[in-house]
Amino acid sequence: MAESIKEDIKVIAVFDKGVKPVKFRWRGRLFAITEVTHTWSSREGSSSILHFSVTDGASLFELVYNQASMRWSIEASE
Amino acid sequence: MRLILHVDMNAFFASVEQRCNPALRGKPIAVVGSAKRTVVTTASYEARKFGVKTGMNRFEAARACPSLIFVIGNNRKYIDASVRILEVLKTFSPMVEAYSIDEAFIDITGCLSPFGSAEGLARAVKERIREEVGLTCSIGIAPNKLLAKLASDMQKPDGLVIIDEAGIPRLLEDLPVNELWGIGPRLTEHLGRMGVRTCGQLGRFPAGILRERFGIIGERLRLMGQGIYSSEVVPIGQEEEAKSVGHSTTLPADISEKAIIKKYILKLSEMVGARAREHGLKGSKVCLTVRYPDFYTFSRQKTLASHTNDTRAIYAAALYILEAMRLRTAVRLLGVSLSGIAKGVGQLALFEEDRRREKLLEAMDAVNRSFGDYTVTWGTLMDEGAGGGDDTGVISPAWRPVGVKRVNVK
Repeated sequence: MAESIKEDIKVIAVFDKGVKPVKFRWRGRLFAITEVTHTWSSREGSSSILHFSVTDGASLFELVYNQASMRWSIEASE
Repeated sequence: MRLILHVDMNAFFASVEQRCNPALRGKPIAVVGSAKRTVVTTASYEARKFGVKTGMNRFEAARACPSLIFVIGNNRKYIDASVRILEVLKTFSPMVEAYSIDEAFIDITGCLSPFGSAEGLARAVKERIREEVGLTCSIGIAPNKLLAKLASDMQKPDGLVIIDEAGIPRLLEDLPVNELWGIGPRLTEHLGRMGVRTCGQLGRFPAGILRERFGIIGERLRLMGQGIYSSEVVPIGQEEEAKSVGHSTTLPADISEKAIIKKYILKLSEMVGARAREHGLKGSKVCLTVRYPDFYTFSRQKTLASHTNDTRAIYAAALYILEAMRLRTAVRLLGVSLSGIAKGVGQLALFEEDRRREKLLEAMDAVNRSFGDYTVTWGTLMDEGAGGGDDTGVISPAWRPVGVKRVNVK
């Protein structure tokens, strides 16, 4: 069962014909993303939000990038 | 001859979840809502083998398949995937009809030359959807929508069936009538009592008797039995105007307290009013729907003096209906809808107070458009009891990718 988190995080991402997160730091640990399993977008008011379902090979995380505020957050993990 | 292609995404919500989470792939999963009294919205094919079906409650589903994994659905994922699939389809033909969140019709007449054949085009569609969205679909191709939908149902998952003109009579002769799109259990039972069990029998049945029994659809039923269907593909954005704007919600528990029921009605009235205002629509009738725990459902309607999309006017009308009802038990579901819809009608506000009300709603809508739904809402909804704006809705079968039917459920 996914655990809801909603915390701001720092992410290393490649911006080239889209956005691809590569690594992220959360609660003092660095996670290397081995696979972006799915991406989707949504809107929050006028802000466009990109969602990334990613795995480090052990756990699954949902990372979120708010294109208006240019902030990354982690929304869930399991 | 026209050529219609029907795309049906395989176990759509469950497939999206399996795509997101590799640990779920190949396993029996059921997508459910976040509410306590939720039912299965989609089961993966692995779960269907155990008899897990859409509409089962958690207990029934877990009894059918003890190893079943429940996944709380995320409607935003499904809406996004659906829109991306429709974008793929639009590159094959401009005539794409979004029939539901996971089904679409495409008129591919005249679009075959780059692909050599209808089969070539269908394989290209499947490949593009798999590449770009990571999902499989079943495709049916036939001379009309009825047969295209029948064809896509014939091979699942990841199927491709083409029905050509010459093969139609043989295919339909012994096909049970309930296999046809639009012929449900009650109609099947009714036809069965008349001795009509197969499409072949339906196609030969005297039109006069069918008309007498079923009214204007009688003739259409006979034609359907012959595989004839005249409804055309309606491209996205060219659908007829909505006849009503409505929302309903299953309550987290059966509720009999009027005060809490009123909060839900206010919330539903705000959802209806905001969506109508967003699209410049006003309605002259408000309808309140109530469902009891035994699933007995009824609706009552009130006609307004003038067209409106004002939340408070909708709420006042719904409350008027509620007060006139004698609820015999607690309530399981509530729904509010606005009908008698017209665009760009209504009187200019005559009094200062009315003008201020309009401006208040405009200001609320503008803030919510910029910062998200429920950033500014009615004080009554801030209390516990009506769920604020955080609960997960269910994607209606009437959902469409654009216009007033695009409902942004969480």
